[in-house]
Amino acid sequence: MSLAHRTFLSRLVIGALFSLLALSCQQYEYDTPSPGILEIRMRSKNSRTELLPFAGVDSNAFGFMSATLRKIVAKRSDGVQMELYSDLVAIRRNPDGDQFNCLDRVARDSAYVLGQVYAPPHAVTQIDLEMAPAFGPDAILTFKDSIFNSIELRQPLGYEGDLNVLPFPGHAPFNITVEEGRLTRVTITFDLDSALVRRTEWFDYRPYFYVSSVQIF
Amino acid sequence: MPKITFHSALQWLVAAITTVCFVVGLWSCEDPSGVKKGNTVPYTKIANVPANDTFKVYLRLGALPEATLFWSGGDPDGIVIAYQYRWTDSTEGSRGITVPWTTILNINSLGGYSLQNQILVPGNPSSLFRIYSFLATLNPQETGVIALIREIGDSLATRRAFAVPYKTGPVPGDSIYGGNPDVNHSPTKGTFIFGSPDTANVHKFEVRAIDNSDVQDPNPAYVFFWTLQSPQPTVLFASQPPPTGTQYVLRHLTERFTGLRFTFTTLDPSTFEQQYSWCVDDTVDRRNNNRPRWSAWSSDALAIVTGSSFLDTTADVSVIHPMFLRARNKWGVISLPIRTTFVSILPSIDDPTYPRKILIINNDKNGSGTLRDPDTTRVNDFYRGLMNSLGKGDRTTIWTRASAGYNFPPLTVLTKFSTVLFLYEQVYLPFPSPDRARIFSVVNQDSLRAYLIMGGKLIVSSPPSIETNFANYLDGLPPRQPWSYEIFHVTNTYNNPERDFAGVRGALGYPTMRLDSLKVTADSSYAIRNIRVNPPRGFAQAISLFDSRSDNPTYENRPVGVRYLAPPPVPPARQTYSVVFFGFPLYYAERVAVEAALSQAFIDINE
Repeated sequence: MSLAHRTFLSRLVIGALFSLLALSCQQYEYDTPSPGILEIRMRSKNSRTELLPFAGVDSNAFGFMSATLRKIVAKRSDGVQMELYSDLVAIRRNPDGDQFNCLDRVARDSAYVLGQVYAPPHAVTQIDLEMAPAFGPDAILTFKDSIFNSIELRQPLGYEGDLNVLPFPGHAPFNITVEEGRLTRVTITFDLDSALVRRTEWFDYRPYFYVSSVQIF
Repeated sequence: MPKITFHSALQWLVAAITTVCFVVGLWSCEDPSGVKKGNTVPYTKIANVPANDTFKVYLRLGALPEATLFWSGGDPDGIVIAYQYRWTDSTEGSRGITVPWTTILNINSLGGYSLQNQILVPGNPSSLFRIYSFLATLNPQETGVIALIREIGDSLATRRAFAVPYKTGPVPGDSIYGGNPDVNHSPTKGTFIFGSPDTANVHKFEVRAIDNSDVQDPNPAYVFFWTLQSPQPTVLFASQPPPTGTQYVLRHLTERFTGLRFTFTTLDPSTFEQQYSWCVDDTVDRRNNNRPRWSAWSSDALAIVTGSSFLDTTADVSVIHPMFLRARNKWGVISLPIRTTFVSILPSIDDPTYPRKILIINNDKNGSGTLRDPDTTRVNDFYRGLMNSLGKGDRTTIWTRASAGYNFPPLTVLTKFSTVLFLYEQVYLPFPSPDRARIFSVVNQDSLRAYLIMGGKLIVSSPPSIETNFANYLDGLPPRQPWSYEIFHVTNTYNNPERDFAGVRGALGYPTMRLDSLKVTADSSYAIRNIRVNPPRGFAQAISLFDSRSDNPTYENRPVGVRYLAPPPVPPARQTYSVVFFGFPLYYAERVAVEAALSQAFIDINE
């Protein structure tokens, strides 16, 4: 057998082996879904607008109640956690948190975006909201009918800290679905009517948040 | 004699050295039987605290002075089969009392079964090792041994001595008994009660190991430690309300009535941990089977006393209350109770069954008696008529300062009324005239403030110049806020010096009020001057707005009247005060409107 024949034969054998190997492999179809977007907004519920007017509604009135958002985390039933930042391209929050006005018109209109995140399609069953208003003698400032007013906001005895785990005990559980390629918009209501408890000369702060709407676009 | 050569001497020397080495080697060899020559004594150590001569236990009076000690031991050439311990209790000036040695076998289980009662050996048996080896080598695999172990365990539980049940029969002097589990926790741990009859007691605890040759450690381990009785703490009042001077007290705390506060301290060298218990009036309730009235022990060095702490809740009576206090330290030693006193009054308005009444305080001086310059009688008649129209005339009393020597009603009078309508209707008509109102002094303000803190309600028909009369200089010194700021809840007020005030436009249910043209006449341009704009602060709200005769935008529709309403009460506490401040003299407004305004004010303050 000539050298050419041997070379050919060896290539043939190698080729046959590769063909056998290829035939022996099984093909799988890998299916990875695209993420959805989870967006959490805040709405301030406030029916005491005579005392606590919203800012930006009337040029003769504004209210200011500063709050600091330090962290917002959405949790799935399987324990996976997704932290939401101010927008989809942000990689962290400000070290001292993000400040905003709970009496802003944007908050009244359910338009305050607390955070956004790309999220795999799944159900979110818990939202941890680490947020609290500023406390002190001038925590709430208002201007109405040319009169400036300030109201003190206090932490009552037994205040358990700034972390609010939604749903609150006693509230109905929620099951917020994030769908592939779609936007899930969750609105959390900050109920100032319940959270600001009137005392003689000040408000006590008792956090009261709940998920008031879920929209999927 | 053979000649001793160097060579032969060397030979002899080598032989001698060899012989010596051989002999020494033989001497040092171990006995071929395997038995060592002699015995090494065991050793013993106190295993942990108390450190020698430093451990001090504070004991409560009459308590059992117990301490738990641990020890250990070893034997280089054998095993420790038992320990013996004893202690000596001494007090100052005494020789000490030494308890006899107690022998406890170093056995934790019988045939693998743990012991409920440790094995103690009474007396001095001829061989402790014989007892030990029998008990330590019980083999439950052998016939009848399990039953024997159970029998031994039951006998130990009786804690009475019994003969060691050898298979070959009892040996005289070989007996054992069960230890108390509360005392002998293990062969190397025990909790003992040390005689401590004195305030300071020293104890020497000794323990020694015994090895398998029945040899005791000749140098027992020992420790000295002290037990001291805790001295009784001395309790003191650190602060309290003044013992003289009457304190007005409500039955329950409110946000404004924070109670009578007593703070405490103790002198106790043994510990910083104390608890306090206190009571008012008596330590027992003699009307209720002498039930103790002491409060629960609390580490708070503070008592907040309210009327609910009193035995006698008769209202409006000045009562001297004894206050008792005692302290207890962490060792349970209770101090002697101490006592102080204070004087208090429970006001009538704190009694929910007390009938509601209204007091009108007419603060004006007498004018000429005309409509526009009224005397106090005319003003009183005006308001009496209004109260009759509102159906409240029968429960209204008028205090006219001009008729009462210009005295302000004392707090004992104020607290009999649920609402005070305060008339301060100083007015300048038609030209600047002498002050028509009595100065509302700081003392008067304090009296009215105290009334409000107790939950009174206040309606004010104010003077034109609030700043002059209410927010005087002294009252505004820090830390106190001006009366108008604190009570009326107005801030940054400013005056309209012109004769420009024609009335108010109503808000929040209050009517629009115009000045009465019969009282404020044409020569006054139908207007009053020196009416201030009173911007509300905090939770206050404007109830009326300035009607400027000249439509001056600085004043027009600016707040004049302000109401401050208390939040709803938190039962059982009563509601705190509410104030309706009209900001101008109501007497000069049209009567119908004033009646409607007062009606709304009484509704607002729940009167």
